[in-house]
Amino acid sequence: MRREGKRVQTDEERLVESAIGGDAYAFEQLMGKHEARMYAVALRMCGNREDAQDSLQDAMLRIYKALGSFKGQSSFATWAYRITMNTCLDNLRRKKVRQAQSLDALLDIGWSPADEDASPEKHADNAEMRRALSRAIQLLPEDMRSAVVLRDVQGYSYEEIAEILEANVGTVKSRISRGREKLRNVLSAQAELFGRRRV
Amino acid sequence: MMEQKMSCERFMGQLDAYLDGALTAEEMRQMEAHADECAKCAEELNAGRQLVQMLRGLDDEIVVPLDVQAGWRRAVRKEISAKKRKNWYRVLGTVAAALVVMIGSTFAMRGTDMVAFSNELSPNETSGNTYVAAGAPVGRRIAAKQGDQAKVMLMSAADAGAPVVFETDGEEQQKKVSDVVLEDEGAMGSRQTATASDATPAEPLVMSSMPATPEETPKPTAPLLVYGANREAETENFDQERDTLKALVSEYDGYFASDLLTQSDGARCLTSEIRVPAERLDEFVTALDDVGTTLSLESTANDVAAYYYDADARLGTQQAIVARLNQLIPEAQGDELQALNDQLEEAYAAIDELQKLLNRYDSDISYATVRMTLWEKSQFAPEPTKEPTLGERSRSGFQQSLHAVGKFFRDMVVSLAVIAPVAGILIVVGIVVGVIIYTIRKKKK
Repeated sequence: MRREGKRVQTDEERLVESAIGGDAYAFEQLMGKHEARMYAVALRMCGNREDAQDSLQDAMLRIYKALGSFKGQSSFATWAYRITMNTCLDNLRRKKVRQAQSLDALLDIGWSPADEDASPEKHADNAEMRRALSRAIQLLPEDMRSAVVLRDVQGYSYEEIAEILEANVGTVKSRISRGREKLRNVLSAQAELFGRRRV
Repeated sequence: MMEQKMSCERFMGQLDAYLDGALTAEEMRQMEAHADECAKCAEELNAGRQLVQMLRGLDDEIVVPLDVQAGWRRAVRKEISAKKRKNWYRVLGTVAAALVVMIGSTFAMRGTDMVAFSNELSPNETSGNTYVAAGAPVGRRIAAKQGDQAKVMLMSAADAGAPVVFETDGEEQQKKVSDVVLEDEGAMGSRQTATASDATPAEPLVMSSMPATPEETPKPTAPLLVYGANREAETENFDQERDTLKALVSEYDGYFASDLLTQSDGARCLTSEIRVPAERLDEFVTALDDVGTTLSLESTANDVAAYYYDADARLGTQQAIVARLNQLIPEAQGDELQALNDQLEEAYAAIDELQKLLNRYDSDISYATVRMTLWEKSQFAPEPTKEPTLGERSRSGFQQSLHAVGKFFRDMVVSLAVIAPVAGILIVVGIVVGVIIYTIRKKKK
């Protein structure tokens, strides 16, 4: 990190330093704020709790080991989420999850990750929709899935997503666009299935 | 400027940007206008809005389960302690490697004759060597027995060449102290060690040495006296009396000029040459009564005036020669200059020797020399040697081993000193390289 004169260290920088020095507690403080989002992303990407847990753990370890090489060229959060996303993609590839892209699969309402881990207050009338949506996200190809999850579920900007996914903004926009299109199709099929009409 | 009507194709192309709020106000207005007119596009817009809205809140309620929370924390902590342990191993490994190198080189060095290692005897050890040490200055007598290894202190390098008389059964043998190893040449009174390798007496013997005979000079008026005393004593409490002796010596502002410990048949013998200020000699000798039981005691006074003034005179001569040469040298040249320089060097050397001699006499005059022999007397009548008990053997073995370890570590220090210059250079190079790398890394940041 290039030091322009002497400036006060941020909390984050101090925690990073301590963590590098072997302070486990500092690392936990550092990653505590990002834990939930990292887990949510992992859950959306991997589709099930076990894989999400493994991915999260792997990601945390990778982040810890790579702390020394964090140069401050991006924000810490973006850097951490990039590692998380890469870990999830690696795990997915390793497990060779085959994506069934047929619409018929969408009829299987079944289990959705959001169900198990969401707090009890759910919007009952949207429950089925949400389940279908979750399932649909799972069925998206990984590149689209990651873009949509980061943009629409997690709310990152195009630039941030570009950093996280290590792609350029144009590619990111394209993936978001195509992902949303597929999901829109799912939603309308779902609506038709249950006889709901949208205005 | 009014734009042409938007096509559905264009609408669909901009839909995502619209949903992301990435369009300008004008562009957004156009999109909405098109949607007002085109039912299909309006449907798409609504579906898009709904999707994004649903997705937005999708994971708000996700809670990280406790076991997941604990899982990664545990994994990271394990990783941290594993890394710390690895560091430790690395340190230990380096230390172990260094030890191996040191120990290995110590053994290697011992094999060669490159370095002088210690040859001390442990308390219970007697060597089978039969060489005996000799001493030098006036009136020095040392008792040693066959089979003993002995070391003795000489007073100066000048003693090295002094002739030594060995007395065996009334017969005298003259030998020279050879193979002198001097630990430090230096001022009067410094302790030096010499080991003579040149004598194999067949019987227990007593040696004395004689001083070099001085040139004949007219006896000067004032005597210069060197005082001394010789005492023999025996004791049953050898160690105790030894300590008492040491305490006495320092009490009277004296010092040990030499120390010889020998042993035969389990009985030890301490021969010491002690120097005390001449004016305190009488008190000291009286006090010595406390150290063991006196077997014999004699006081001596030697007049060294003749030798002293002789040396002094010779010194004067040499100094005059130097002065004369210094007058001649500026004028001289060529071969003559060379010859004069050689003579000058010789003269300086002679001056050194004489100065040392005179210093020694000064010291002998101001400090009296007391020669003390303390015999260890066994408590019981000599009985047939018993087989040492297991306890005795183990203790003896342990002591020997302990001493050997001590010797080994001393030797290791020596061999470390041998390695040190090379190691030092390597370390310095390593540090410099390390600093350079570190600076480069910091700059890159």
